Amino acid sequence: MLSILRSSAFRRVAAVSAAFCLAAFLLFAFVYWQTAVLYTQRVNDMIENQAATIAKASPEQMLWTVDTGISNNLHRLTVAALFNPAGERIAGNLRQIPEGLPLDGRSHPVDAATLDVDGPKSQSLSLAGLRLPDGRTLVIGRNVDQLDELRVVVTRALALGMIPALLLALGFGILLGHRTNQRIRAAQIVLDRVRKGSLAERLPVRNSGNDFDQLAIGVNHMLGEVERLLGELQHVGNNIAHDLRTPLSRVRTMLERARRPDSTPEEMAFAIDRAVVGLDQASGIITALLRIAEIEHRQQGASMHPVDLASVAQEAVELYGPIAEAKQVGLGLDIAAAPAIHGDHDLLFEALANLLDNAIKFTPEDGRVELSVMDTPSGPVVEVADTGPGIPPDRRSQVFARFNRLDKSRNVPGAGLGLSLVLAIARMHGFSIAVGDREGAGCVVRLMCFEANAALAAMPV
Amino acid sequence: MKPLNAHHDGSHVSDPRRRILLVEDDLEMANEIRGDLTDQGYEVRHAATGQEGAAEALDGSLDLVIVDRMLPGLDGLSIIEQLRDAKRQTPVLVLSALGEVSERVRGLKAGGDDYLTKPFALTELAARVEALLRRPNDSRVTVLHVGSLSLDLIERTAMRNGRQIELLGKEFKLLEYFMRRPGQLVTRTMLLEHIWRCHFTPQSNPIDVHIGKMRRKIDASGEPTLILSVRGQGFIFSPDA
Repeated sequence: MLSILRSSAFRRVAAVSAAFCLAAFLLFAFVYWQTAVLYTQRVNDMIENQAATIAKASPEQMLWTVDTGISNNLHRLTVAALFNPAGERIAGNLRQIPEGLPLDGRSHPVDAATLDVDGPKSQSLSLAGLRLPDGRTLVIGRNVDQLDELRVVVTRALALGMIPALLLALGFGILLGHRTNQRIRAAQIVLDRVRKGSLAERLPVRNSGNDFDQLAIGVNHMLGEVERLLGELQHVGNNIAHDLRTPLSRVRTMLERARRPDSTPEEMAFAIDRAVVGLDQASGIITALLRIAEIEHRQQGASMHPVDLASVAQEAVELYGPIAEAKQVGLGLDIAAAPAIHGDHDLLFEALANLLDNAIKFTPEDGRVELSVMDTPSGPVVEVADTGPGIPPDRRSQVFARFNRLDKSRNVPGAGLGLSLVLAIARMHGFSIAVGDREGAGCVVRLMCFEANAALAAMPV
Repeated sequence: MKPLNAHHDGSHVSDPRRRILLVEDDLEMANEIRGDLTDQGYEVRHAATGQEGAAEALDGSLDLVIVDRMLPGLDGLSIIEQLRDAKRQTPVLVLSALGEVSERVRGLKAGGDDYLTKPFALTELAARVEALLRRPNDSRVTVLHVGSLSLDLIERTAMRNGRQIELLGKEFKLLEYFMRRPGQLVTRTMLLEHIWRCHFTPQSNPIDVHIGKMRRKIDASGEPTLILSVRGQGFIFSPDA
């Protein structure tokens, strides 16, 4: 129960109810105040008019009016009295002229007792006193206890309206709080299970589109991403172990065989050389992984400067020109625009070098690799197109994953880390990469050098 | 204009024996490095801690200091800073297991002259040591002459035996780099770092192909090749005359 009272839904309902009550109270107070003012005004006007009218009448008429006016409740007068110049009562239901009543013909609130059947009792009166030309004093007025009655009525209405409304709000708040608590408890149970390792769990979504659902959808997205990343990590971990063990076991065998008693010095030297190559391969994998990790964790901005994309492309083509030439692969550079972007020159160079390296490696003799720099409406784009075998559409998202080589054989040089590195560099810049088909045959890798929707990174074209 | 010494003997040993201080806490590694550098003809002293290394480095009479980046006690960069604060210009080579570019930049900013990431080949270390001990030839000259080859640094043209050689941008830089270090072992990584500003190792081996192309340009038929390959190590620019 306490947790319901502490729940945000209950608190919200309580706050709204409190605001509503305050508003209603103010409204009632205003109505009462306005009514009271108007009522008093009317009563006073009436009393003053009557006083003036009676004062003009003949003494007999006046006496008659004072005597009968009250009993007949004429003009709703409840108080009327006539006093002689000595202040003694001649007629009417007031024993004496109330103390402190100015005799100016105007209405004044006074508490005084009347001579009624049920004995003298003090009442709230509105009285007007007037000294007549012949020295007598006329006092008339009216009981204004009705104002008190009005106050009672208003208060009762307020109570009758407010208490059920408050109770309703309280009940509603408790209900809402209870429902919120239930959902939160359900979410806590799920999150607890996730924390204990069952990453496939998801928060329930009721498709009502409310804020709770939106939160749940957001958390579910995050859980999906966490699950994917952890899966990838595990996969990468296994692959690292495998990729490191392969060269290491080769090295071990070579060295073991080399120390046979009958090995010639030449054989030993040869084995040692090959062992060194194997170790270099293993440490190359580690270096590449560390580098990807470094780039992924590097703070954006630290090494960012304006970079001329065209000149980076040119440098990459210059570095790889002779390799392509030696492999009899044409290497073209097409600079349609010279966009300047904000980035890390060395890393962008490394990314383009890796893309070219890859493209040349997979392009057969007499093929062609083309590096293009262009400016599109969304931003600068660098494209590496080749006439190699291309990448099947269903494998395109995998090529950027660590250690994912399309041919699972471990005999093609390269650790399968080149494109992961390119992706890491692109992500660090906030850029995205797409893989597609080249017109005709082959593959196009497109580096989009502009901040795009992060979800698009590494999506196939 | 002063012609450069074209008759470099190309040996790794120079007299008097060059003195190197090695500050490295991994004793096995230190022994291997010391053994290798001693074989090359250097006199190597070893310090295993930062404090010891700093004291020795400030002692003077050293030609080169090799420091490990991470040492117990006093860190490698602090040693360099102490050295530079004491106005010692002794060249420093930083060895480090930290390969990050930012670490390299820190090492060089602290006053290091070169940075080598572990694991490295001993020949790579030897080449870097040699490069640091033999600072490049006079950089004020406008024409480099080595053997039959001359390189005009202003016109950016090369001549060999009266024959003009056309060079593209990077080829020119490559040749200049070699000609300033005749007889010195130059590794692929050194070329990648200095000519291509490339602090990573490309998967394919573009350097060998570039060198091959360069050889075809500068060696006409019948002429001895100027850039020799040293198997598994790198290249040596060897003057022919």
